[in-house]
Amino acid sequence: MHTKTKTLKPKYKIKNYLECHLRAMISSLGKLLRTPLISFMTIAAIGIALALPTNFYILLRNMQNLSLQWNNNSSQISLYLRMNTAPSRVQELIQRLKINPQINNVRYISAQQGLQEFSKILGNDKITTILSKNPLPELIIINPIPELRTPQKINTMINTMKSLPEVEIVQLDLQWLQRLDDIIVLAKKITTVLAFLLGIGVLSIVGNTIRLAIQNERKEIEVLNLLGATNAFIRRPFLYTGIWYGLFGGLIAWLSEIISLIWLRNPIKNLAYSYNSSFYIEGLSFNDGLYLLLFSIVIGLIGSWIVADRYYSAVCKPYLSHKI
Amino acid sequence: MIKFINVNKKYTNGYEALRHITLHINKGEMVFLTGHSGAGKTTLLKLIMALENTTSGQIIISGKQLDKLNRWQKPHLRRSIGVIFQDPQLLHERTIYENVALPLLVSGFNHKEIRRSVRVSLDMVGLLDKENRYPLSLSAGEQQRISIARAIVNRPPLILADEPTGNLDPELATEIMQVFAKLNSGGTTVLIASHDLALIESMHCRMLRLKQGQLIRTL
Repeated sequence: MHTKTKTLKPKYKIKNYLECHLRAMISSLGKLLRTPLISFMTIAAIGIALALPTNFYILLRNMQNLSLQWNNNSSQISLYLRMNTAPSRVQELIQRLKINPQINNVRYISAQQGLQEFSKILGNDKITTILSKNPLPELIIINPIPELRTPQKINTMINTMKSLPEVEIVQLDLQWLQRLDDIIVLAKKITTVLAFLLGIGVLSIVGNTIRLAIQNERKEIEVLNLLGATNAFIRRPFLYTGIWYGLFGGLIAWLSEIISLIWLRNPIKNLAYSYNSSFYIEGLSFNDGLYLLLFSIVIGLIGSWIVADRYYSAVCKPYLSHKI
Repeated sequence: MIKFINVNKKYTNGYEALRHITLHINKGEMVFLTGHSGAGKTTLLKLIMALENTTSGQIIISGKQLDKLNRWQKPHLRRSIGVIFQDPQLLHERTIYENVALPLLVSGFNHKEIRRSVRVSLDMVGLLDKENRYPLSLSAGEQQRISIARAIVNRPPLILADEPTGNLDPELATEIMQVFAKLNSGGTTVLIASHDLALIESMHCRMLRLKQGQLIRTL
């Protein structure tokens, strides 16, 4: 038998390198599937940890939409006129408001119209006959120009309106809108903190799982080391494991988000309907979903990298030194 | 091929494993390394594979000075050395084929190259028909032959064996030695650590004897 002494060297560098990656990718997936229950438990933990900030984010975004919607519709100021204001003075006031450059739109709802609308809402025509006298004041609704829609400017305008002799009450639902905005700012901060903390949580779940995997494959790592495997080669399947965990965890988070929205959609629609609103809860867009997956994959990769890089040498070196 | 110049190895716990070792093994030689347990045989092999660093002195393998190698060059050095241990060190959850293919996977060969070389290698140790079996279904002798097949699959110029016949009965041991002799006749340098003097003497090769970390006789 003849043996060639020339050491074999791989021929096609790039192609073989890609094949090497593909092999690590598939073998790491295979290992996950070989212990389906344990893998699923890890993946579910990652998924839930990611779903929490995701759902918070959706809630936040819908709140923001809602507030925006209200801001646009309701930056209107209601002027309730004094009782018994003469119709001519009402008309004169309307004219004056109409030529005011700070006002976009003026709408007049007479006491009579108001009463009709009121009885329509109550669904009771008799109300007009029961009441001997119309208790409603004349109402003028004005929309300030968009440039005025900041709290300070609008307050100045309100004060101007209050000083008009015909006007009794000026109403603007700005205060609670302001509160909503404050709540949204707070919720944004909470979401960021939550995402940060749970991101670290996912990082440690992945890290700890990879640490166990490395421990379980100590023998294999040791043999590979003796056969001349580089650190990168030994690390690679563990990094792919981290990527798989991230990907599947992200998918679970996405899926759970979709399911919870389907579950919530009808109650929210009903609630919105009862407020005469066509509010519609908006879930993650496809792009948002891809960002979620990307985020979870990157976290999985980082988690496995941190552990694989320092842990395998720490685990295997002492073993190596007394074993061979 | 292998050159030791006044090599000392002291472990961090103070144990002096090797003292003033100077030796030279030529390319294509087959050399035995003997001595009692604890004489430093394994340490010497570990130094050659750059698994341990020398405390002082120099080791040169195939013209490369080991203490000059960086982290990335050490794995490449190991790829040019086939190693065999007393315990075959096979991975039980992988087939024979996959075990033998490991050095090629590690070096980044593609599946076509791997298939060809693994077949050749398994054929050399006479176990081609066992490629789909798992290590535990083979006898001890067969497992050791698989570990030899793995060591030679990328045709390294140097083979190191640490007590390769330690677990085998005399008949199997002789058989394994014949495999090494065959490899050597093809031009591979072979260094075998063993304390089985009867077996070594039957091979008529150069013998290095270690005693308490010192080289006491070179034949």
